[in-house]
Amino acid sequence: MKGLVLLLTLAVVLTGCDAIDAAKATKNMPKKMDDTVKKMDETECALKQGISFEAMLKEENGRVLTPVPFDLMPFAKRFAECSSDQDLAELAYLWMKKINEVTLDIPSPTEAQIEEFNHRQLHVYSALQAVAGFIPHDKVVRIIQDHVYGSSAYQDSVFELLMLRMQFIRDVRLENGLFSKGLINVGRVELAVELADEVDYLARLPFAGSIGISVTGFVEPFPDVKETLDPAQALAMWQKIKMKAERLNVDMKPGPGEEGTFPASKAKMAQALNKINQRISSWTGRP
Amino acid sequence: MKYMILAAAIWSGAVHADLLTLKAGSSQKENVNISTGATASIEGASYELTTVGSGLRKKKVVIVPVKVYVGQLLVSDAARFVKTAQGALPSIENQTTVAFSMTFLRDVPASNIKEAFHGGFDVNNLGSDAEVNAFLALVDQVGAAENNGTLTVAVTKAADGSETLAIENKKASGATLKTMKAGKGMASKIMALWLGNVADDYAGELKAELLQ
Repeated sequence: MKGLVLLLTLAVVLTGCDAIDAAKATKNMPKKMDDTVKKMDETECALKQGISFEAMLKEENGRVLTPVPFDLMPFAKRFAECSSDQDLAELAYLWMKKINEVTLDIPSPTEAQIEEFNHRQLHVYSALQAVAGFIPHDKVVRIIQDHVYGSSAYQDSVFELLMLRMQFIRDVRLENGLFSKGLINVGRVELAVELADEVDYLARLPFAGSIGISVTGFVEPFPDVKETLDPAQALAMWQKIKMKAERLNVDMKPGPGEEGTFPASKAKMAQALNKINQRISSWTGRP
Repeated sequence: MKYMILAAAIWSGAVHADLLTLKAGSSQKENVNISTGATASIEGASYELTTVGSGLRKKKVVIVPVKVYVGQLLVSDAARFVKTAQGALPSIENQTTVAFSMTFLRDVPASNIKEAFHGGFDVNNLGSDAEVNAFLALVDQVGAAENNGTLTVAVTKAADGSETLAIENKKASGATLKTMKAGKGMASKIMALWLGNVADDYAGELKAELLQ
């Protein structure tokens, strides 16, 4: 009897240990799955980064560069999202060097040859500008931490990268993007606010005066490009968005089928206007 | 017979005199002939105008600005037009008829033109003006600008203080004309786009060139 009890107890204990092991393994499963998914994401991103890098500079994706480089933008976005902070700083260094140091090695170039050279240079410039413009905000913060505050070897290149970011958001995404068709609904106002916030962030950086770019690698009739970040542009941008948003706010009406969602849209518009006014006040010191 | 009458009615409805019949000049900008003057035809009446300025409107893009249109400013009384940055717009009060003709150097969608004009009105504190918004609705209606096409705006003042605005979009396929009645001051509101506060640096360059 005692033997049977001992045997039964042993059986329960052993089974319990297995059960505990099984339970432990099951408890660790979500973390292991997370790790696997993360590795898959990283592999997928590395693939996307490689594909995007090639695609950005393909001739067919560089045919139309102005006013908006439509064809290379999706690849620039993927590249910016999937590249590491270090990759992006190094890219800025390499491509700016390429733009400024590659020359047109023809003694008496024709107009067509000059145009072709400038277009190739503009292609690289536009791609780098688009990458800079699409870097996610948290990555920009880390790049600044590591390379500007960290005084890395790529500090100057990061100043250029940030100026390119400013140019892309201002000239491509806002001026020739959202503004060219107008802020015609609350979604466009919200996107304009989001983009202006990125410019605002750059304008308030303690080293904003060092953010700038100098491009001398084009051949006439293309001019040199020299620009340093002017913090006053942030306020001007907010004021422009405010005028357009206030105009929409007055004219806003529900479209067909939008009657149910209209109150929510009006609330979003009020929120957007509130944020715009706060940003303007913070620059002007006036409520 | 009734078919001939019907055809004539349809024909006369489809054809209108050009808003501006330009008098060719001897100079060119971007291959666009710069006129010495024009005859404006607005609602059956004719007005003689003199070209007092011309310039190139550019727009900022990545490195090299794009050329958008060659503009020509025409007025009824050239002697009373003031060619200074501060005096030009107020001197529109002295004019009975004014016109601005834009010969486009690229295709531009109507929405882009409307938005660009709206930006110009905003910086002149006219963005919420009801008559300005009525004008912008006409800009939408006359449609997109075409490369080598001409968009013309003309305003004439009546003795009773009312003003009539006409806008014409002339393309290879034909012309679309719209008119509207407005109150006193409409000519100045419209001319503010080119002679008032400027919306960007290139608008400033155009204004300076118009007043040379």
